[in-house]
Amino acid sequence: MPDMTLATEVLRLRLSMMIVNDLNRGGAFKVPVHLAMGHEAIACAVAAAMGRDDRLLLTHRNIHYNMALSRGLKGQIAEYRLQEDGFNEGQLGCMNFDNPGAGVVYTSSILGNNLAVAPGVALAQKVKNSGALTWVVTGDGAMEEGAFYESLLAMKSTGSAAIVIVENNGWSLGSTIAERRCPIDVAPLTKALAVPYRTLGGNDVMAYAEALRSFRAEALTASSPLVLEVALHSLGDWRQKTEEFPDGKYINYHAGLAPTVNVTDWPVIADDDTDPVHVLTCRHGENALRSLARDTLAALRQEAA
Amino acid sequence: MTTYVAHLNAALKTRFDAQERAVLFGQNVVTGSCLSGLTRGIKSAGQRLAINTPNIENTLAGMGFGLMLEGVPAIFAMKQQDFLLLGVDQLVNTWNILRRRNHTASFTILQVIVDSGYEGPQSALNNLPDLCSISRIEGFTINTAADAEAVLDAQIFAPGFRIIGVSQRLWRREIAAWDAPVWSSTDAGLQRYADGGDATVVSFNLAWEQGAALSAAMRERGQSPAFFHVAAGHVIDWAPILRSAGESRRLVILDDSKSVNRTSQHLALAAYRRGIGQVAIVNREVHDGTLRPHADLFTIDIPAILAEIGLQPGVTAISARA
Repeated sequence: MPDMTLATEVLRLRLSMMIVNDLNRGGAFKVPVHLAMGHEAIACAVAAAMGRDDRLLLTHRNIHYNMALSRGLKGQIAEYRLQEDGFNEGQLGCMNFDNPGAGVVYTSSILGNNLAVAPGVALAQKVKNSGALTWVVTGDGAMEEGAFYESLLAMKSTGSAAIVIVENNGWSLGSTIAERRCPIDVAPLTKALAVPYRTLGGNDVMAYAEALRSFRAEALTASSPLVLEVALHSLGDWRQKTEEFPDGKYINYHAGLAPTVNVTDWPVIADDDTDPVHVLTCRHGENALRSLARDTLAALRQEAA
Repeated sequence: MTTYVAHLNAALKTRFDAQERAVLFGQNVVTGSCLSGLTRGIKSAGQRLAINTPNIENTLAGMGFGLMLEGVPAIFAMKQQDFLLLGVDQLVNTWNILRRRNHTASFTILQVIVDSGYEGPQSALNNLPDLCSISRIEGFTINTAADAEAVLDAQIFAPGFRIIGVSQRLWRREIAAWDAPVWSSTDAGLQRYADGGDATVVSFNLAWEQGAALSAAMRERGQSPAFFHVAAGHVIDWAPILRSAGESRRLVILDDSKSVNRTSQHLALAAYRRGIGQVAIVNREVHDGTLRPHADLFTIDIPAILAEIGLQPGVTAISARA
C-alpha cells in the first residue's frame, strides 16, 4: 500500500485553494488573496521536511505554506474575511498571514523584505544552539531586490544555516522575466559567495520532500545558507478576448480570482507536469486519487461551512 | 576628563556584559576604530556575540528584527544615521508587523548622528523625529552623562524596538556632567533638570547644550527657569512641561532637528491650545544654502529669546526681527 500522506496533502491544498477561489468569486474577501495553485508540491514538501523547531519566513503568496502547516481552513478563511475568529483575529488578512506556533514566524507583503529578516532568525538559532533551520521563501521577482544578495552575504558571513527557496514562476505581476530584465544565472551568483545552489522541478512532491531533507541536512552541517530554485507555474491563467487578440490574450495568474478555476472533486487544472495534482497520478494512479479527492473535498466543505 | 564617547563606551560595555545572551553587530564594531571608540572592548563571550558585518544596512536592520522576534536581544551599532535610510523598509514594514507582538527581547539601533559639520550635502542628517514618525518608532538622543545613564538603563535592552542617536559633535568633548535630572519619565524620554517659575525652557534632540546655556544665562540674570530636555524623538506626554509653562506663562522651545516634522511642533501646538502666553521657538534654518560643507552649528541668540518672552527689555524679539 503506497504512502498517500503527501498526495493527500497536495489534494487538500489544491481543493482548499479552489474553495477560497470560489468564495472570492462570490465577493467574500476585501483583502487581496494570492492563490498558489501549482505551488502545492514545494509547500507540502517543505512542511514534511521541516524540523520541529525550524522557522519559515514567507511572502505575500503564502497561502500554500500556511495551509500545508495548518489544518485550519475555517480559521484561514475567517482571517481573509477579517473576522475576529480569524486565525490572526482578523488583524493580518492574507498577505501578512503568519503562524508562529507552526514555525511561520514572519510573513511580508513587501518584495524582499522577509529576506532581510531571515539572517536574524537564522543567527538566533546559532546563538541559542537550537539545531533548527531557517527557511525563507522568495520568488523570481523578489530576488531582483538587493535584499536577496545582502541576506545571502549576511547569512554566509555569520555562518547561519538557512534554505532560501526561490519559487520561480517566471512572472512578476504581469511581466515575464524576459519582459522586465536580463536573465539571472543563480548558479554563479551563489558560487561567488560559496553558497550551495540546488534546483528542483517537475512537481513530484515525494521527490521534493526527499530532496529537501537532504538539503536541510546539508545546510545545517555546513552552517551555511543554501539557495534552492524551484521551477513552477502559477495555475489559474486565463485568456482575454479582445479585438486585438480574437483568440484570447494570455493572462497569467497573479492575485485575486482565478476566473477559469472552479471547485471540482477532480482538481487537475493542467494535464502536464506543471500541475502537482497531475503529477500525483503518475505515482498513485487516477482512480485512487479521484476517490481521495472526493473524500477530501467533502471534509473541507464541511469544515469551511 | 571623561569624553562623551568614553562615557558612552563604558556605559554600553557594562550593560552588554551584563546580558546572558545578546548580539551586538555592525560595521567596524570589533576591529579598527570600533566605531570611533563607541564599541571598543566589547567582545564575544558565551551566548553574547559582538560581530562585524558587511555593509548591508537594509539587511542589518532586518537582522535585528529577526533576532528580536527569536528572543535574542540585539544592538545594531552604526556609524551614521544617514546610512539608516537604506533600511527604511525594515523600519516601517517590518516594525509595523512585529509591533503587534509581545516581545521578550530588544532590538536597538544605536547610531551616530553626524552633526559635527563640514560633511557636505550628505552625511549630515540629524532628523531623528523623521525616522520616528514614519512608523511611530520610539527614538532617543543622548546629550549628557546623566541622560546616557537614564536612556541606556531604560532603553538599550528593553523589550521591543527603538533607535538611540548619539552626537558626533560631542564625541571628543568632555561629557556634560550636570547634576542628574530632578525628575525623569520612566522611559527617559523627558527629563527635568531644573525647577523654576520665571520661564519654561525645553530643549529637543541634540540641543540640550543650548537649553543649558539659556538656563544658565537666565540664572545669571537672577531669573529662575524650569529646564526640561526632551530626549525622545517621538511624541510624548507633554503634561509636565505644560504644567510648568502654565505657571510660568513663558515657554522657550529649542530644537536643532533639521526636520520639518519636528516633535517640538506638537508641544508648541499643545501650548497654543492651552493659551500659554509667550512662546519663543528657535529652530534650525534649513535651505539649499545649508547643504554645503559648513559648521552646521545650532546657535541661539539669548537676549533675543528673552525679549521674545518678555524678559529682556530693550532687545528686539526674534519674531519681530524675522
